[in-house]
Amino acid sequence: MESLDPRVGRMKVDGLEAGTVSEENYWESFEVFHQKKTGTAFVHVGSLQASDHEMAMLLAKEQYGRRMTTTGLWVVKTTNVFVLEPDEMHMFSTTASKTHREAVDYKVRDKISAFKEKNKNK
Amino acid sequence: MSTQDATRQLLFQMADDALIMGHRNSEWTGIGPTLEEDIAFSSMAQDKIGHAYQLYKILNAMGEGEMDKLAFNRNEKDFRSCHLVELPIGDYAFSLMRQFLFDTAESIRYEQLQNCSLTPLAQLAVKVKGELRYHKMHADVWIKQLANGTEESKARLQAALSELWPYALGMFEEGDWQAARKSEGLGDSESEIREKWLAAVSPKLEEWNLRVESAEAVEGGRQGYHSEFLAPLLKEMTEVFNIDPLASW
Repeated sequence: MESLDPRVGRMKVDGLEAGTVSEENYWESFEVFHQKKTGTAFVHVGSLQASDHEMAMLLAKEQYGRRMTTTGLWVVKTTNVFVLEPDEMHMFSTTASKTHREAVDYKVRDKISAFKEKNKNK
Repeated sequence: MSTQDATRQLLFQMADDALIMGHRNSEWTGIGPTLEEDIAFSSMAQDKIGHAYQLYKILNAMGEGEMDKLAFNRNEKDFRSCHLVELPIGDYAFSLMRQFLFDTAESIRYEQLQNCSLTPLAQLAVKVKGELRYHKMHADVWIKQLANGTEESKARLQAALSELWPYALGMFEEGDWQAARKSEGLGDSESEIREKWLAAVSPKLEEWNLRVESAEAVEGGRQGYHSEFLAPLLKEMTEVFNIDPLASW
């Protein structure tokens, strides 16, 4: 079908069937961290491929900043993110039961309410 | 030309440029070189069409007619877009180079309109600043990469620039609205914008080792005389609308 729209009769490019992209011609991987409100935590929102930091930031803005509010954006090379190996995760197996580490006995809210109550009629 | 006419001319020129450029950008959807770039060009197409929408809105408030009609139901000769934005997308280097040339001009144009006498336009100029900044940055980052790339990428960039330059100069076509535009505070004249534009693009082109040969501007668009590419583009762009122009969407 004749059309000026280049998507019609979509081109077939040799050597680009799925699974043929190799390490040499692939860009570096970057992890993207996004902050949606000033002062809140940056959240890991995903990754992308780019040739360098500048390109990564450009693409991150597009990929991860196009729909929500964005107050901050970080890109980090994936090779600079050091991860704990899965088989080291057993370090955390008893952490949940160490309730003596939680600050539950110092119930701030109760003390504040009590203080307010006491001073309400002054 | 009267002030009203000069205002209309300016608004139509900017709106039509944005609409047609947005349409061309959208033609990369699905065939961008990487997923991220596909999304980037699609986003920028949406932005541009958004700018067109806002400008047609101002024209509508001035009594120029329904916005859908302005976008989808005018004749080719009523459009005031320059030939630059009508050209087909070409290869990626071509589209990036066009984006660089066009969006640098747009940034300058909108910047100086922030103080113009037409309030809705001045407000719009402030609002779209960030979007235009991104469009320009996108072209800058990419062209820098390609200009420092392979022999092929450099050659394609140079070929794109040589082809686009006369059309780029055509963005600044002057007409008999010049005097009215100046006297009514509608911003800089086309020649003034062109001078600022040349000052902005020349150092970058030099940095990227790209040459410009002096050329005649390709003009006519601002008076309704368009390239061979506009009519087929309009036919395709308005195809859905024209199935039933009276339908409500």
